[in-house]
Amino acid sequence: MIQLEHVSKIYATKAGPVTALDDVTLRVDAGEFVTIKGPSGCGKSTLLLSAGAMLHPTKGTVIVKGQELYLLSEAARGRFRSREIGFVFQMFHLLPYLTVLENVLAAARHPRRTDAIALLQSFGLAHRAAHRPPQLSTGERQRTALVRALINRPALILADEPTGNLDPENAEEVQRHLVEFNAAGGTVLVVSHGADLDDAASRTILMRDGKIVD
Amino acid sequence: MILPRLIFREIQHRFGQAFLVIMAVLAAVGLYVAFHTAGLAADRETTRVMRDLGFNLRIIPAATDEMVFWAQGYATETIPGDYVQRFANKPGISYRHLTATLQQRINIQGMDVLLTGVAPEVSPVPDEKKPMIYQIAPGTCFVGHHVAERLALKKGDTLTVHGKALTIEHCIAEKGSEEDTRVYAFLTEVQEMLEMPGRINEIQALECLCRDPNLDSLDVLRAELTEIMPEAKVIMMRDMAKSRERQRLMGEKYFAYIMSGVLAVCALWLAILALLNVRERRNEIGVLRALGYHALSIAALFVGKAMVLGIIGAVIGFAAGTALTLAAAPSLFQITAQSIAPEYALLRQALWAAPLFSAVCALIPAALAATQDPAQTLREE
Repeated sequence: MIQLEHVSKIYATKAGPVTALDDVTLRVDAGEFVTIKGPSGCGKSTLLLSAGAMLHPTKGTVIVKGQELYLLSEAARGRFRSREIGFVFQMFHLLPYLTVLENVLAAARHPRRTDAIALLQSFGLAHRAAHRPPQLSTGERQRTALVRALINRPALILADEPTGNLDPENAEEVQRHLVEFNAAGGTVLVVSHGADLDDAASRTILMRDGKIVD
Repeated sequence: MILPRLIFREIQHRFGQAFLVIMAVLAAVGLYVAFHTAGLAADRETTRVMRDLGFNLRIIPAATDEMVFWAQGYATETIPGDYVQRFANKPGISYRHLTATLQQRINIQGMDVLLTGVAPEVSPVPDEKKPMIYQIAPGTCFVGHHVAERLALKKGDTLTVHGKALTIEHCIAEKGSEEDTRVYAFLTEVQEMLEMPGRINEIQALECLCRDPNLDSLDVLRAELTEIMPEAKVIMMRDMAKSRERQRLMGEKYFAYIMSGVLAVCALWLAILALLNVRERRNEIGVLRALGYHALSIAALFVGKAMVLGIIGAVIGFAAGTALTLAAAPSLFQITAQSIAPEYALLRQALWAAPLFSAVCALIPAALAATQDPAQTLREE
């Protein structure tokens, strides 16, 4: 599903170049649930964004579902991302001026209200469809973000600290939904600090200083 | 999701910012509409005031001796009456009022009067302007103040001129000029009375001006008119014409200066607001890009928003500018106050120009938004 080969990412900063990824090679098979762990600044999010067709690596190749992402045009990469990848962020990143339903539809390639409402229902959010994000609890916001990530039935979910802002109860619920997605054949790559997703993961990768160390 | 919904929802969400954008467009459109509408009112007022001062162009027979012309007040020689139509049909000459006259001093009941035959006035757009000279119906006449007083004439009386009985339609109030010694009658009838069929001795015209300030209007008109009226020559009331032309050009120049300044300030205002909007929405841009939105769609969000607010600003600005003019202009332009009305053509202009203007102002911020690296925003989280 995901293949990173000798991927490096060097950021140019005022203080000089910073190596976020250093010759990383990684393979994640379809149907795997992989967590990436490591200290802050070790390159976890950079790796996730590179795998998600969002961040052009300085070196190396990134192949997702057989497609070498950074050979595609920007527009084609956008279409690929929309079709094949669902993103979930720690801060949810819902659009505050749209309702829950509209946030989901904003991500839909072929917006159908009935599909969106059915998905919201399965996440226990149907009664919140007309509410705006500031009116939701943090757990509801993250579940909305999950629904938004799943609306196009992607093959891959990339999640950056999806439970980082949640209480244990809500974290467990988000984990359950990720596990269900994985059980249905989806691939999950999660960046996480804590141990709450360890039980769900089929594999855990440890990073340090831009390298995979374990 | 379609972009229009994102645009409208965001406008509702950040209404304070949208309100400031609308105010900028409103200021530009409102001032443009107010200046333009007031400018038109000023033009009408000036035209009306200047009109009362008389014609500013006189076309007389080429053979006329100016010394005699100025001494007796009219040309002794004549020119063909169809010169008026030739003048009117000549492309490239602007005029507002055109009247053919035949004047001759005659004796009526022992009194020396200036008989003046007047043709119906020719206007570039028929019936658009109020005629400058009396419009006399066949079989009637207007008599000057002294003539009426000396011959004890009043409206409805009959005055016989060269054997032709004319009904007095109007006794002209005292003017304090040779006008008081005139008898105005229908041109064709005067031509018959004076046995000069088809002849006139003057064409009077208002505002036959050359718009190019680098050319001498009289030279241009003389060159143009010599072609179509070989038997005529042109005398211009230079001071009157020049001051009028100067006044209009000066008004247009100041209008252009002021509007340039207003537009520059509003453009800067709009661009800054759009930049702030882009900064404020960095996360949103990153998320939309993560969801697969193309850079052009992101740019369209900002340009589209600017256009929507531009349309709203145009409508409100037109209403505000018009209301301001309708409230203030009547006290400034008292003679033509009743002619001051909303200029709906300006609304049509504003409805395409204002969205275009605000879209252009938002272009650079929109380009910055479109080219913003979404990964950088999302990494900063």
